[in-house]
Amino acid sequence: MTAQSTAPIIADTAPAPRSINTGAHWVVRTLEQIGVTRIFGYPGGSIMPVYDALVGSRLQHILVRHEQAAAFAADAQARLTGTAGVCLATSGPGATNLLTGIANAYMDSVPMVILTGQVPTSVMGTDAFQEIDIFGMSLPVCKHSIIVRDPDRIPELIRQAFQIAETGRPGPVLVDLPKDILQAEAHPPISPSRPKPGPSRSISPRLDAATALLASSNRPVLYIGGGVALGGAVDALRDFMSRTGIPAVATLKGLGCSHPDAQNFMGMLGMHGSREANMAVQESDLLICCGARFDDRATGRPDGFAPNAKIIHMDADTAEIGKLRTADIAIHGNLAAALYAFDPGYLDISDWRDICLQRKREHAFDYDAPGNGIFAPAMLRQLSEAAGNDFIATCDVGQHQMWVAQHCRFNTPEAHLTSAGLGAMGYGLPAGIGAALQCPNKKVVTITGDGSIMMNIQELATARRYNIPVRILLLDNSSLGLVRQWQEHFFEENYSEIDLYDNPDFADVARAFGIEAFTVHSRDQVPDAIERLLNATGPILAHVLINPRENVWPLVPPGKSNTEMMEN
Amino acid sequence: MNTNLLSVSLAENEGALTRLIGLVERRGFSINSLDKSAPTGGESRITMEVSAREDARRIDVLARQVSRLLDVNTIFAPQDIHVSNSPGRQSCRPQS
Repeated sequence: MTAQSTAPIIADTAPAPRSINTGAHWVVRTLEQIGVTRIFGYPGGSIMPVYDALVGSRLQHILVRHEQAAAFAADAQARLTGTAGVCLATSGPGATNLLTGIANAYMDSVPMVILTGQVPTSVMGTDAFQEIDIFGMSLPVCKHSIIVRDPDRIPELIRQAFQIAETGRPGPVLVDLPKDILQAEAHPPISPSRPKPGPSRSISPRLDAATALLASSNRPVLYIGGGVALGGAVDALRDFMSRTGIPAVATLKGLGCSHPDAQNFMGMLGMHGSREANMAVQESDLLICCGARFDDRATGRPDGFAPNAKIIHMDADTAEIGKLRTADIAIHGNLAAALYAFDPGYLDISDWRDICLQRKREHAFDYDAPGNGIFAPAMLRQLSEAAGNDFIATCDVGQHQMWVAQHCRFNTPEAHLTSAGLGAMGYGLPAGIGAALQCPNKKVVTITGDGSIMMNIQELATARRYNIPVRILLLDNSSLGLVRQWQEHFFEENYSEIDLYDNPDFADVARAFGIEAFTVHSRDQVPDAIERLLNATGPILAHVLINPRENVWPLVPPGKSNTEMMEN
Repeated sequence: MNTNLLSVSLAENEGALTRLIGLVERRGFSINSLDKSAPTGGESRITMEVSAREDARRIDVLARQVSRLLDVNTIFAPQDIHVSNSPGRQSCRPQS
């Protein structure tokens, strides 16, 4: 039967009444009871009982065209809501296709519940058709994984999965559902829904020592990571920045935590960070790491990172303390409570602030570029300013991702959805779909490249089917630009497999999917293009042709310290 | 090379042992020896001797990473055991 067929199928005999108490029905019922309203998925053999039970459910199921996109879309929704996104796939290839999206959520600490079908328990372990040990494959990329072997425990275990995913340091939790368990009659005990535990308010008692260390510091710097937003500590952080005036830098995931116009905010640090941010960190005598993890993209060569700084490391996750840099003082617990309680009083750091602010003025980015070609950094700056407080960017991975981080203004961390830890090309469009479904009245813009868009271009069909207002800004340099940039500078211009000269016409491709599209060739077309994108009420794609030789600056070469940055 | 003993009580959940061993290996430690007790009251005691593959990998960080696992009920303080002359490393061949 095709999807278009509407003719009812009339059975010769009346079908036997179907149970509404199967395991699969309890899966759906439990999701509804938890308060889930939307799931992303793709049907197949082992998960079919759940799809059967979905008919008539209150849950909105978004049919993606590749399971990876289901995980990415659920991830984006979770980043916006702070509650677990849900994705659903069948066993075998359906489950393995989810893995990149699960890994993405794991690396960026995103709460997610993944439901996978599995072959019946009687044949598990026999290499049955579409049998893959997704439980085993998920272990390195999940906070926790569960195989359900008793249909009566389905509600309990799904609730447990949500509780694990959403508490402490968030992360993905996989629930593997064998088909016979889904088809079996289930009579689970009535479990009263318990209120979710709030975040821990406790903090370790090291604040006095931290305050003394800060009071004796001449050049303190605040190093902001994604844990600030995850811990609900954005207001506390802004309060701390404003009270103390300490110069602050942010990681890729930490962008949007500080107000972008805060005078003491120096921008992003690290490989593509600003000079003022990297220099502030390098010259600091005290680095207050707040919800960050000394990732190599932020630190460059670890022994050259903030070489003279003592470290105060504040994190909700004790396992991050001392992982890559020994902390002089570790503060474990609720970041918001810690930041509000962290009060050093008056700090005599005006000379240090002046040095940082002067450097910030001297190294302000120059958006003037010769010629009439489109200068991507300037276009992205204009886009984010035009979208204002309604802007939500969902990025793919490559040069455009770094330009977005450098040149867009983010008023909240939720305005910037990016595959930070995993760096997964293909994230942008499915994340845009998840974000625009969750926030249809915001200006959700997927910023992608001609390499990344092809990783999940089939999701144009999803955007069309549900008329999702995702605005796609495709920066096309006919190459894998970031790889090309590295080959240019670190592989002696030995260009290898980066030329995408034979790309399709992406505007034509979008139109073939039934999506409005247009091409932008020159700088004078940019204002109209931005207006057209932002005013769209359904999916739209702007195909923007940029200079293939454009690079991302500054750049800290691999293996170098952050002071050794290359600039244009 | 520093070698440490890591000892935990582990809930007898499906995949718990795999999860624990996988974490230790993935975080840059080799497992020299491994002992698992028979389960009692739904949990078993796992004791392993581990060595860091890189000097920078720290046992206290590994212990905290292990303690994040939901199957791990208790983690006992990792002990340094400098094993250059450890009996466990001696040959069990009969001396001729």
